[in-house]
Amino acid sequence: MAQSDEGDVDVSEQLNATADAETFVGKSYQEAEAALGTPTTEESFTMSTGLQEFRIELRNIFDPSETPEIREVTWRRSADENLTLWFADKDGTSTAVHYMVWHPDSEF
Amino acid sequence: MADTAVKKPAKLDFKKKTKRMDFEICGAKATIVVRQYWAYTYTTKSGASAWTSKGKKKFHTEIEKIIHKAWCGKFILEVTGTSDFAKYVKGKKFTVYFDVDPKSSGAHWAVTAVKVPKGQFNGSVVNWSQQKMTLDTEDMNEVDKGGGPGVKQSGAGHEFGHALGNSKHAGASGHGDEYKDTSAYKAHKKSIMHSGMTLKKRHADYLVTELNKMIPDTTFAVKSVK
Repeated sequence: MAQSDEGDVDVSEQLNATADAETFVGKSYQEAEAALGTPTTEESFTMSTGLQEFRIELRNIFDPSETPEIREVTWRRSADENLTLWFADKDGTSTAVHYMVWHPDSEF
Repeated sequence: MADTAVKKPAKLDFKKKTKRMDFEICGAKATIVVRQYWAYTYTTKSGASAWTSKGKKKFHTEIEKIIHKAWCGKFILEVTGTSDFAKYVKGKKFTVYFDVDPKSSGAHWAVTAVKVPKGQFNGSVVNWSQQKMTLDTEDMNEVDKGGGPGVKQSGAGHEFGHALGNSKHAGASGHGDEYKDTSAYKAHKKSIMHSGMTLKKRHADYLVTELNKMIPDTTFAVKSVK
């Protein structure tokens, strides 16, 4: 990974590593399951402004007034990588609205 | 106050380096300094302006300011034991201070600093096992994490708590996020390891465990939290 003297990092490699994850945004749960297999964990919650750090990026997607039901689904893709997709009903169809690739040892 | 009848020990200052932080005990001043060195890398999220040298310095200054406000001078420790040191400082109240310094090589933590557009959110994270963390330019702001009316938290304060051993990966004394259903402290919503900024005695568990390895026959314990 290229790094300048001041510590700036070229994140193109990181972006490549998560590029396939990004392709799931806009896909249905069924499409994701067909590609990724049976999820490891699944949880549902109502969107609000009071979200814990793991879910906080969803606040970039929904206005504070929006309170959709969110389906949070996680797949263990390898010993070093989990993929979480968040599904919400947008325009009458439940699709993945956001994703996160994270190390299983991560704490948020 | 030290017992004047007790002979002053030959050594009052102790230092220890560990993988994730260094410890300095000063018996004369009754202080403990926990110091971490962070090696930064910088990334920018879409929509944010590029990092500048000034911006990088400001980021560290602001993060450290939040850490000091949340953690510095809060834990008051007492000492017991049969060592000369323990006898000499008996009754003294030790205050714990924290310091974080940037360091390009040989640092305890690899920290990715993410510049995000103002008002946007980025998931901040700590990986204890890998000695890595990710923080962003909005982590100084206290935000609603679902802790109830008036309860807010800054990401920098919470994530630093993980880096101090409030991690489920930090051995027997470790405990991590308290907002999880599996946490024994899920009801403590104001706690800094939950959704607020309040420190509890348990948040020094890892630190105390490490301090208790430094001087034979000497036991530190949290007496109170300011």
